[in-house]
Amino acid sequence: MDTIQFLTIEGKDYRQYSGKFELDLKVTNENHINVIEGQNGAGKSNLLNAITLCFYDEETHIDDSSLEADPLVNLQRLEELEPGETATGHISITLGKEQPEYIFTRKFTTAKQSDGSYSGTTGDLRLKQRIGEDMHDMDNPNTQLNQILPTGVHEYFLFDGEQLDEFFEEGYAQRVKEGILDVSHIELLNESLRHLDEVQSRLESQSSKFDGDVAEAEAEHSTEKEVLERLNSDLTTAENNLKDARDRRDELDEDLRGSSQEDVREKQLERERLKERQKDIEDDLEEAKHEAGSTLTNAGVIAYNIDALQYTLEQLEELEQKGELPPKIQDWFIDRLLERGTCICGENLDQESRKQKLQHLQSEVADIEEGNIDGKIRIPDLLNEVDSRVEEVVDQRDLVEDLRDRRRSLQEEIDDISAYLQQKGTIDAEDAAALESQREDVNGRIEELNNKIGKLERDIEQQKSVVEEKKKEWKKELEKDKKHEVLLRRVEFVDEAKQEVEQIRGNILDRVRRETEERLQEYFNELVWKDEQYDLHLTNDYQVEVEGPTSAKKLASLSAGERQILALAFMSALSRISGFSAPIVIDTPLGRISSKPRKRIAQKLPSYLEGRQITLMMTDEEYTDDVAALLDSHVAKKYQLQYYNETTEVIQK
Amino acid sequence: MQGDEVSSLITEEIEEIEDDSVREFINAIVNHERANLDNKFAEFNDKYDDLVNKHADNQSLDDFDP
Repeated sequence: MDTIQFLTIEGKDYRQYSGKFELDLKVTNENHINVIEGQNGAGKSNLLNAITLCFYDEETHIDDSSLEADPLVNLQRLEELEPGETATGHISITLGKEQPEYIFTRKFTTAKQSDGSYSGTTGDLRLKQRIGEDMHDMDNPNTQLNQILPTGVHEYFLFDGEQLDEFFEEGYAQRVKEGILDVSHIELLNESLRHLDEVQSRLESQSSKFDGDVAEAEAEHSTEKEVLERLNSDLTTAENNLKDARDRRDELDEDLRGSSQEDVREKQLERERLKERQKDIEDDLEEAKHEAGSTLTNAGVIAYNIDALQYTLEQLEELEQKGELPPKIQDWFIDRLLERGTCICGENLDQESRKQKLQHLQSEVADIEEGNIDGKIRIPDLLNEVDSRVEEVVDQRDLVEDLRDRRRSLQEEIDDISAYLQQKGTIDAEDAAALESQREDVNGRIEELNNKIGKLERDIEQQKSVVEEKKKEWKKELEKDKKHEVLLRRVEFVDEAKQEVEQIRGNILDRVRRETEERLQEYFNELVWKDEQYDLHLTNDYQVEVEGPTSAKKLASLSAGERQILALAFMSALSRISGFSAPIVIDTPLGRISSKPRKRIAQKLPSYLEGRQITLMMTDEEYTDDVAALLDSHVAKKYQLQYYNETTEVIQK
Repeated sequence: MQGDEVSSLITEEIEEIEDDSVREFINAIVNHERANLDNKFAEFNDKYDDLVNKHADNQSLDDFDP
């Protein structure tokens, strides 16, 4: 295989895997898929957990709270222990292209307490790496792992398909944004910029010891930079506070949804539906305002100049009737006169000045004719269009007003719900009233913070200009003396490098967002079971818009299966765009997906992720005969996980 | 994927930079950042200062227009 892959996953006494177990997962470029089949609870998810536990010291796919309480070491092994004794297990993962290049290992230990309970610890990550022909212990396993599969992006390579539909639930735009930032490796560029800023400050501060105006200019620049830093820090604090306030409001909403009183639950659900509709109307309103503005711009020019256009047309018609409009003179006629050198009146045209006049006439005539035609044809057209354009403006203005009314009316309904919940003063309803009252306070805080953030953003923009100005003044002072040339050159160099890094950051974000949008559209349409074509857009604020053949379809109205497909398309797009061809492991990729798209996924996924090792962990309900027939030509290894007597056995098929 | 590589999204952009010194400098700093992405205790100040001094001083005088 041309790219790095999981060659083996090997372990001992990990959860339901008793004793030693090993899966050989080596694939080839042609057969790049592994299938691990097993019933629910047979240990598929724990294989994914084994990978994340080994690499990142966390089990990211625990969906059963009772399992969370289980110790890491196999229970049968622990039953053999006396209180005070410990048992140790491990997970080892071998990676490489054709032969082992890295072996990552993490041990875990569980101790049996005197009361029969268990406590556990995990060891440090260890790494053996190939150097020449031999494998050597390395002292930087986390750094090496981070270079192979960075912590920030691993969830786009190792994930649970069944939980994917949650990806596009409320707050998904933030997750989409984070996904794009993660795979773009923007953090690396942000860190580069942060360190370049520090270099720049160090360079600038060197001039504080210089004589005369340079030091003074540096001090002024430095003071303004400190103001900017304070503003940025205030903005970060305000944004964190806003996030906390929104989280608190979500918690209160959840409490109200789970209220013991039916009417409170219903009101809360109704409010959430209203807010969802309000959000849709906000989007429609923004679009309608934009369209109304464009139409008004086009129609306004004609409407405001209607008198002038009518007067011009009358004048043109009058001149035409009087025969005072210049006649149409053909180009070829002037060309022939110039060739002959004699006018039809007999005058000699060989003189240079006369020739030039004729050539000038030739170009003028073209303009006059064009103006004539424009005037006589375009003006009546424009006058005819004016009524329909004005009508269009009025219609669009009405639509904007209508949407505003609907938004207002929804807000009134939301306010009514809030008032209803707040005045529920009966004894058994006190909790609901208190929750609603808190919710109102939090809402007020959110509004306050939004205003504060808006003001800080404006202040920061202004302060950036002040800093820039002060920097120019400082550089000007520096330029006055030749002895500062080296420092100035270094400062200019860092400035140039910063601009380049910022440019790269912008380019990558644009590219990743554009490619994500393209692939999302391509994959979603290929995978979803509908025959009609959907247009998918990724907006500037990372909202996904799904537009069907007749109307826009809101994400909330997609079924769980459709959302899972959307998320699978998104994950496939991100892992493909990321620039990392790391191996991919998907647990239950086809869970919750009905038969038709299931077959499409089985057919398409191998090509979306070609050139990488893919390991799919499926139940027999997912790995049907149809799916197997489509996948099998790409499959390298197949395993069956058999769970019996609380132990999983790995069987190669 | 290669073990010690910066994402190709970034390297492709860096390749487009015309000025040799700036290109080499940015290449060096992103590789340093890449190698130390999870290492908060890595040394950055001296490394960056050295790289700036080396690459800025190598830049052709024609590129420098104070």
